[in-house]
Amino acid sequence: MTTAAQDQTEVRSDPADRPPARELGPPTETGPRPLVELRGVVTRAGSIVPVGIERGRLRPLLNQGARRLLPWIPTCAPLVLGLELWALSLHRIKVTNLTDYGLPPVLPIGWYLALALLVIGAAITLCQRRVRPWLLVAYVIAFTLVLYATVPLVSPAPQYNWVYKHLGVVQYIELHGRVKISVDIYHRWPGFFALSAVFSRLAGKSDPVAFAAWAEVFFTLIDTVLIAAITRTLFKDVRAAGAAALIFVITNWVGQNYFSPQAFCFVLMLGVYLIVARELASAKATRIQRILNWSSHLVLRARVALPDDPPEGSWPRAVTITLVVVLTAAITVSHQLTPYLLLVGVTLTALVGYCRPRWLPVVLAVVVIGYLVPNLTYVDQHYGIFSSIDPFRNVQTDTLFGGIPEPGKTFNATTSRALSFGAWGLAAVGVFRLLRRGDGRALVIGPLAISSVILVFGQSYGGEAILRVILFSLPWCAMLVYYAIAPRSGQWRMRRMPLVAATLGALVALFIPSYFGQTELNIMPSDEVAASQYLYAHGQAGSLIMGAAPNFPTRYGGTYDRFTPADTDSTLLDDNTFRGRKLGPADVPAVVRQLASYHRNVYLIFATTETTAAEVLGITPPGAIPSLEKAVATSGQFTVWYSSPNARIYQLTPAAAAAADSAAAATRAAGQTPAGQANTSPATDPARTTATTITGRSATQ
Amino acid sequence: MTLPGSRSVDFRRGTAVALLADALAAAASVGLDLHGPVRVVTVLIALCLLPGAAVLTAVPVTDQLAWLGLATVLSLGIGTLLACGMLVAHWWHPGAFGAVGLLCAGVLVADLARGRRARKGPAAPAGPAGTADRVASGDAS
Repeated sequence: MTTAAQDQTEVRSDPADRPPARELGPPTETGPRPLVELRGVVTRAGSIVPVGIERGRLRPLLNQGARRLLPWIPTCAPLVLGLELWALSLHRIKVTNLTDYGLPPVLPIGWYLALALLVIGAAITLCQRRVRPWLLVAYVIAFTLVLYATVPLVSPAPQYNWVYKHLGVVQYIELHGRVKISVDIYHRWPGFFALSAVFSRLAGKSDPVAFAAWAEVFFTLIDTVLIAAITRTLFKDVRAAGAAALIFVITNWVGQNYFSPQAFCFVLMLGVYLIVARELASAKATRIQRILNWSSHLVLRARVALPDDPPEGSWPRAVTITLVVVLTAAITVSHQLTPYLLLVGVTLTALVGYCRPRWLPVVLAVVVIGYLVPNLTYVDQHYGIFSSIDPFRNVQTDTLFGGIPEPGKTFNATTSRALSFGAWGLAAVGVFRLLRRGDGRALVIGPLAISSVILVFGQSYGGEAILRVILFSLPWCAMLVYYAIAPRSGQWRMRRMPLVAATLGALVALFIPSYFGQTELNIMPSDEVAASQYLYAHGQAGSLIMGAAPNFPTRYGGTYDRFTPADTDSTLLDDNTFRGRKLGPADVPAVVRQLASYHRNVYLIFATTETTAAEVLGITPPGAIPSLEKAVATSGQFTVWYSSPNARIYQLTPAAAAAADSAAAATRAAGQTPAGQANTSPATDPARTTATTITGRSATQ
Repeated sequence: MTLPGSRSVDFRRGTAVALLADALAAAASVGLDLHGPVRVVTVLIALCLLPGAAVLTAVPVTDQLAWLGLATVLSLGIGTLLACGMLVAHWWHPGAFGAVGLLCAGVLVADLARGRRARKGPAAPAGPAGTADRVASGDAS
């Protein structure tokens, strides 16, 4: 009988020295011929090479070149097949009529299979004894495409209604060549918008919507490069670098990488951390670090220290500091929040002794606070520097207008919570395992991972504080998650693959409903975008623009400042008398009174996205907004100013406005408050203003 | 992904040449007012990498990933400050970025030329120029 050892010897030896086939026994003894041909032998490299029998001799079925490719099949085949399946599945995705569960129910099985293949392939790639960096890069790109390019490829216009507000600022700068700080908060932090306007002009795109849809893929890719580079610098481990980038991609469900100052500044912030990690690292322990080390020693019985060989640090100190200051300045003029979280992070690294010079945070604070001072009054008056010092209150993400969302939204919120807590839990395991082996870098990365929590001790950030906390902790959590699943010895073996695949698979499984679960609210039909563009281009200057409900892509145009309100969104549902009940013809007089109380010339928008938001978020019962629209259209007090399948814009007739004015005056004279004005202007509601303007996101997202 | 000296030099020289070609293509498409994806992509690459790459000629970076990340963030950071500067100065001329691109291209060309001279000559020039070659000779990390 042929033994495995004999087979192995057979293949490894020179063909001339091969023993004749009779020594191996006749084919009949080893089973039918097809089985013999499928038999494989294990080579020195650990790969399986199929052998066959021809004319009584055992010989490899494949030539040497093909044999060299065999080890790549388990890692490359899932990648290629996954991407192909994904590309093929795209044309089957229909984004119209989505339910409250968002995109996941309409994603075809091929899309899920593609993702499953990528998870398995990535796990195999990570667990190989010898890591192949470019394969890891390929998997990171593949995951980024599948997770973040799907929606741009299947939707007609950039998703998220607040993207259009940002595009409006870019168009304003393109049109006027300046900013006007009285318009809104964006004009006071114009860095990102100014650079986008430059790009828009140089790229020959008068309408930035052409490239805005791809911002999420663009920013995610740059984020992964920087996270990998930081990890590589800190741990000198290519596998950890690739894994951290990959884990960041599959855990970043918060959807903050769209066309926005936040995404832009997040990239710049990672750049600052990369410079700090490379050029300003120090192995000298400070007193705080010694205390932390002593505590770790006490608890874990392990001597904890930073590596003796800190990263490169070969740049002249003056150049390094200058570049850090330049990047911090760019962040400072672009975003209200990021510079402070960066300052906290850099200060922490200085305190634990990793970042030198220790005065660097002071320099950065001068830059950051120096820019805030002239804007302090504006911020304080419009939003407040500190919304609340109660962290439990600040982490709450109240539903919009207190509505009771449909079950899909509750489910998505649960999965997103599970994903965040899962990532944090794994990160905690990573810290523990690093400390157990005495790696002091855990005392640098761990604090950075939780540094963003400081935000919730002063700001709710329009109900988004928790989202920003998660976003800013993810890069560091991604590194730590890797060390939670990495073997203690550092020696990777294929037997670890099931654990790695299960971890990645679980994170991806939670990511899908968390990230795609809001798609029915986020996708903007192209005709609604066109309606918004037309409105701001051709509407009568000075008019009031009001939506029936939230979620219309407003302020999309370089002339948005000529309309009222320019710095926030107004909707009928800001008035609580219109919420939580069926609407119809009986409500038209109240609608007219409310509109006329703001302005004589009013545009009232009814759109599919508004109806979806009102119903999915439980602000109105199903059918209430379409019913109200029907009543408005047939009331004779409005004229249709613009119409498309998904958007209708009505204009209040002058006669109706005058009549409403007279009625309101008469009511006031009688000492009563007219219905529809009792719970008035959303523009003066601080909570509402904060939720929609400073963050650009609704409180439920 | 840190490359050994000679390969690091090749990488930096290669990226410098590629960026110069991209800058040329971007300048041509903007100058000739051509429209299409080529213009968008070339301008995007130039805006996202050219200033940073010029700055990084002054300092050694052997890690490809770090180079890519740093070149990108430095380019975006410098671009942001320049764009804001134009807004503050009430002098909005996005075309002025062409001059910045020209300056950066000049820096890259000078770096390439100095690197070439350093390879030919017996002694490498002092100073930041020819960083790639100093990296190759082990002077920098």
